[in-house]
Amino acid sequence: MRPSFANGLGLALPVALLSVLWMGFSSPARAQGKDALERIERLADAFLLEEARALLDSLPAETRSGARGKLAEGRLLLCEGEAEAAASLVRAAIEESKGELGWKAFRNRIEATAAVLGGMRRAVGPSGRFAFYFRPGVDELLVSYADQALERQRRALEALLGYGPGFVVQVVIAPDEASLADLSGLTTEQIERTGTVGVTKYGRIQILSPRRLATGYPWIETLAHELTHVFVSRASRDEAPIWLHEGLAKLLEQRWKDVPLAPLLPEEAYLLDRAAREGRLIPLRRLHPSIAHLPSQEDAALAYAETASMVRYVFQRSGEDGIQKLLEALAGGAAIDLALEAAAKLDMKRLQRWWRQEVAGTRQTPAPVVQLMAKRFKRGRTTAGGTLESLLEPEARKLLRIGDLLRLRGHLEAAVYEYRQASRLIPSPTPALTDRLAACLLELDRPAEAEPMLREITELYPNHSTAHVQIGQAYEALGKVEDAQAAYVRAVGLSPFHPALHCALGKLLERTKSAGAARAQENCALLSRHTSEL
Amino acid sequence: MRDDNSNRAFLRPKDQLLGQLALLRHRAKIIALLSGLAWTTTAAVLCLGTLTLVLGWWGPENIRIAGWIVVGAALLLVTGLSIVWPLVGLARPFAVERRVGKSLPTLASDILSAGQFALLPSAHPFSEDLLTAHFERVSGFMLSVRPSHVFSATKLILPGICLCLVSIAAMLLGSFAPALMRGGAMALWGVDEPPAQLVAPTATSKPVISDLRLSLRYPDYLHRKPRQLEGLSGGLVAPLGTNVVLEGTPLLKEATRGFVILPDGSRSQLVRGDDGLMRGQFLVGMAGEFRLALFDGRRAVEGPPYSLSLEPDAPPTIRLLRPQGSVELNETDELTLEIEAQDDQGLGRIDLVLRIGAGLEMRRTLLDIEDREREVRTQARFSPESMRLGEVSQVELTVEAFDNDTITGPKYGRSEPISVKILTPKSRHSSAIEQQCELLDSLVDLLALRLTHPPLSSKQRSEEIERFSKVSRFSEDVLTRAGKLIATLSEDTLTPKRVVDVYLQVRDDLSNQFLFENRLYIDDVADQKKRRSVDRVQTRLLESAVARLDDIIIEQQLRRVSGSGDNLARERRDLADLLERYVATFSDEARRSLLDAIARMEKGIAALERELESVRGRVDDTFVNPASELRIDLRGHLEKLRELIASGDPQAAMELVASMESDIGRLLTGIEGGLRAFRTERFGEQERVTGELLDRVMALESDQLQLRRETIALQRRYQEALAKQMRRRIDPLVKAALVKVDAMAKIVENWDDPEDEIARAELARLRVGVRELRLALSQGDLEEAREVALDMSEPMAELAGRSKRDRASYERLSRLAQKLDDEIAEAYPKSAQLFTDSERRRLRVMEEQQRLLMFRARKTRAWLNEQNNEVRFLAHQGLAALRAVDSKMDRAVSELEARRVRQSLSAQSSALDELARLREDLRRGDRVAAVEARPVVLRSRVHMPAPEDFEVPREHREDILEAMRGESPSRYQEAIRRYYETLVR
Repeated sequence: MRPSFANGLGLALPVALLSVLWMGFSSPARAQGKDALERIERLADAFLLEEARALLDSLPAETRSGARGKLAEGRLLLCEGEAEAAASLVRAAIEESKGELGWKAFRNRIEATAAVLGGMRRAVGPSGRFAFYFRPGVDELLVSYADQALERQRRALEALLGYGPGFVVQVVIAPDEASLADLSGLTTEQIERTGTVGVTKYGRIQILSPRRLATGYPWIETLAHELTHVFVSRASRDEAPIWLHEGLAKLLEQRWKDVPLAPLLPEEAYLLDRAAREGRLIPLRRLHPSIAHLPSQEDAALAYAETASMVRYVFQRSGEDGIQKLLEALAGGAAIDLALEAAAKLDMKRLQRWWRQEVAGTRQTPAPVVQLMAKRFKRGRTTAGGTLESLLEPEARKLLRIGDLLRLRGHLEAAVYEYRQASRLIPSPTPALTDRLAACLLELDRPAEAEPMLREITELYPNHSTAHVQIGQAYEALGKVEDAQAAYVRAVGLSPFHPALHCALGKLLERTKSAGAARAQENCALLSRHTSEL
Repeated sequence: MRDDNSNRAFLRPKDQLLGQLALLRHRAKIIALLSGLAWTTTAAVLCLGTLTLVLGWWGPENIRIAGWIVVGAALLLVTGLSIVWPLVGLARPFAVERRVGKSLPTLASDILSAGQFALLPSAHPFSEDLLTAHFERVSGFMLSVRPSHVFSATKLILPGICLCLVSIAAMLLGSFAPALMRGGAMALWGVDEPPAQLVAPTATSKPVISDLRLSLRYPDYLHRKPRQLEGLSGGLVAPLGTNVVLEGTPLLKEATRGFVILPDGSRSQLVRGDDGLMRGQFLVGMAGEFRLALFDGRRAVEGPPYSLSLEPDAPPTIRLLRPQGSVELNETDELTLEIEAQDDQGLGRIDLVLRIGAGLEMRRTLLDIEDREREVRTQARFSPESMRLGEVSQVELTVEAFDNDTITGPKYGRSEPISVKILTPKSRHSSAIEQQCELLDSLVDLLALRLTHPPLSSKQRSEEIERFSKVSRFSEDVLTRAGKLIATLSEDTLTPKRVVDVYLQVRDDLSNQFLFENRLYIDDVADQKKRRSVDRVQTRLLESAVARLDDIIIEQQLRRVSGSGDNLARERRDLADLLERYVATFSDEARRSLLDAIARMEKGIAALERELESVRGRVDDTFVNPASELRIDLRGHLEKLRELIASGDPQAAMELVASMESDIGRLLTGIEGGLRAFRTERFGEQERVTGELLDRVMALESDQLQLRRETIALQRRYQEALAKQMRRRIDPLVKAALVKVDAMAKIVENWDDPEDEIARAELARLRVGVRELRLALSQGDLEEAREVALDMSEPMAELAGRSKRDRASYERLSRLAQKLDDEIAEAYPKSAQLFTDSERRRLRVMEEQQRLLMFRARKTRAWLNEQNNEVRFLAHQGLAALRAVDSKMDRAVSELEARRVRQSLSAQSSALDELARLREDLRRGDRVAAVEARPVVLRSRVHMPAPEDFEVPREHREDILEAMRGESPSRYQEAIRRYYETLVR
């Protein structure tokens, strides 16, 4: 009998019918399981760990024990701080589904995380809401300061946005750039290129130890900034666009100091002003997926300035309640345009237009030029990246060099003369000059001369730790104990490993019988024990 | 059946009887043996004890052997009587039966007969029943006999008692007279001991030997003559190991022998000779006292003690008479050392010892003293080059003298060390940089002095004069230092001239202004404003000088960092080669070399670190960063490499070494980048020009390289096409050509050797040319053959005009060469035939490309010429190199036009070489290449021309005068014109 079309159809039809029946019976359950697992992953990414755990626990055992289920659970465990357990679950998932390249990359990330965290100590802060991971040694002194600031920030944000985390937030202090890279998934090159010092990902706040930067960085504010990301993620169910995320974090990073909206740093204001004037503002779409992917520290600083100024504008339009509404709308699945409309009667086009006019029309820059102080990562005994000195006129640089040569040979008076000569050629105050001149003046016991100069530089470069230490010394020499304390505290917030800082602060606090004297003295002793790490 | 039973009945009593007898025999034997052994032992103890006593008492002489003989005989006798004889008796037939019969005489015959019957053969005439009854009866009787009754053990009692008594006596003797017994025992076994009478001789204060003569024979290695001593009044002083022979008249009458009792208690024998003198000898081994003792057969008398002292072995002393203190010398110089050494026992050798830094010591024997002289004064030469000190710049030199004896005590002496500074080009350069730093310090101090002590008002006149005199003294000192430094820098081959120029300029500026300022004070100008103005100018000059000097010092230091980086790269290449060799051979030597290379590389890294340390903190970190980061990795790599070699994994080691290449490449790039960045920051315009010129040169080089690659490809295709076309024609052509070459060779061989040198050289060149021609033809290289033939025309023309005969030879040779060339040219396909249309087009394109490159080179030259004011030295160097490049490229264009690809290729290669050289010079700076160069040691003699060397030989004078009358050859006219133009320029 020859095969015919009718015969073929006769055979195919039952098979097709069976297939449809099988799919009809099996697919709803499978699809539901898959959706739930994806939701768990999204919830974990949005720091809604409690919700994610509850959802996972509610899933049937066969869904959880599948490859995808194991992966989702592994992801959740990683966010909950169980990196080892997460790694073994993801490995098991890969064993069942070997073709998933993305899973393997994720496994490698978890393994790297486990390796880094394995070499660290874990300590829950006094507030009981933050668990700190740090390498035993000098990094330990960061914990108490960090916990205090984070707890204050948490309270402030909870009051503003709600959605405070109901779990102990993990805070990792990465001992070096490579560890931060392993934890965050960025490369060390990206970290150094954009000066990335904090990343909030995988259920953790991760910052780089200020020890790794030549003059430190505002690490407490960075922690507060990263905690704000946690709140924004939770409030918006991770639906907030990156500009809103970063802008809010930037604006709210000083809430712990009772600063409602953090002002732009002079250097950021200068960058924004210049970019607006020259038409070189970074488009918002370039901020995705992260500011860490921008090509330079200058671009990263400009991006922060842009997002902060834009969100400030939203804040001004909508008020604090509006921000909460905006995030809730986003969490509810609304597009950003709709959410903005609901919260501030704005859409993205109008927002951008008005913001551009605002930025271009308002002079952001203070009168003197404030150059960006790039973060300088330590490389062995040297540091990467250039200093502000390279931006000066050749003649001024020459005089500074002559001053240095004189200072190195102990001719302080002569060095002061040369530095003053150089200052005449430098139009705006710069740390490249004041660091040197103030050091000489303090050494010559002329703090009164150093004070005004240092006050100006701390206003223009509030994150320059050397200036804060020097002005603290100047205040101390002049008998202005409270000012000196404040300067030292600020310096601790920037460069907490300055050897003499804690000792000086401890003495001052003890003299004034203020709180924190014991902690400063402990830190002084700790640093003197671990000088080799500095 | 029955028979069997009866037989068994017969055998059983018989066997029973025999068994009983055998038991008795066995017992008898044991008792006999034990008794014999006891007797023999008793006899042995008795005899040997007696002999020992005798020997101990009388001494061994003549007694020992006799004693042994007696003892031996006695022991043999006793053994025979007590052991052998009883045993033999027992072995006799029916000895046991008889013995039993003797004990029981009533049954004696029964037992004996039973024994006899028992030994009967099986076939016997006796009734078995009777015999059985007899055996049963005797056997029954035997059962009642006690063996102890027949063979009593009481026989052992006597010998046992004797043995005990004798043993007790021997032991008592050993306890009560141990010396006697010990001496006897020693003598018994041949050890020479004094007789017992001398063990405790009677001491006396009087000498026992008079007219004592001592002969001292010193150890051979001391090479001292024997010494005779008369008497022993002051005791004896001799080196350890000296053999002392004594001789003297015994004062004890009848004394036959005696002993020397040495400090350690041992004795050496004295024997009386036929002449009545007592003689003996001993070896000096220990200091103390020795005594002489004599024995006259009845008593021993011991004389007074004599002191015996060891001659002390003083350490050798050595002095370096010349040079002393500290010395500086060049790497290739020789230092003459004048040495004086002494030793009481004689010198063995003198060594030169160099200490380099902490721990490392180098040693070389300067003098081997064969005849063990006790005092040496000599000269030796030391050259750093011969010691292969490498880059070591400072050593501590000492000489050491070693004695040649084995006497305990100090064996060597060392001279006072002298410090030797070895001036290698590198160390001179380092020292020059250090001096520059010192001058910079002084300038900074002077600047500080001026800034902190400005001129005072005219009212404070005395203070102002004091101030200025202080400033003036300081300034003079600085200027003097600067002058000295300039002299040092001018001699330093590694310091660029522009650095010297900077110092000259700084010194001139400062000294001129200082003189002017000085004149103001000498002229007593009271105008304070003017003084201040002059002071300000001087301060500005000082500021400028400080900044400039700081710049050039750091630049030199960064260049040294770069030099260290280059060294490291070289060491890595060596390491890779050595590793390959090791992998191929796995020999110990290769392994050692490999480990040495690793150590060298580690030293290189350390040197790099030092260089980096010298600049760190004085320049921006970015200039030194790459080097700082990478050297750490390199150290780790080297550690790992060592481990891999130790674990026998050469493959991984090779991979590691290969990976290090990229690390070092990055390091060098980083260092170079740092240097460039530094220069850009500090030297602005000059660096810009250098950078741009480097870019242009590299671009030219890269394009020329590409064009050369294409030319090579074309040339290869050309040769392939040529070979294809010539495949059939070449053999007959070569055959015909070789005939002509043979003819040419014949002519050249028959050419008379000219007298003058030049013609001889030309003829030799011609002969070589013919040989090369033959070789080229035989290899089928026709084009080369044509070129060789062409080259031969020059020597032929030189030789042609000498005589008529030469002229004829030349013409014949020239005809042959021409014919050869024509034949090859005719047979040779034209290049147009060989190239395809596309290749011809490509050739034209290449020609244009080459022309464009030439124009670019010219343009670069013109641009550099414009920069002359900014970068004088660089422009001078660059222009010369670019001119050469231009000329080579011009030739390459012409050759391409003429479709001579091979010749064009050669010109292109030359142009590339010039470009590469210029590029290297620009990269390394003008003299950096010399930093790494080892100094060239001239070993051949240099002939200094004397006036007579410039005299023209008489025979040539006429020729020269004749030539001067005529016009200069046209080919030289152009060259002469260019020469004069250059001079005028």
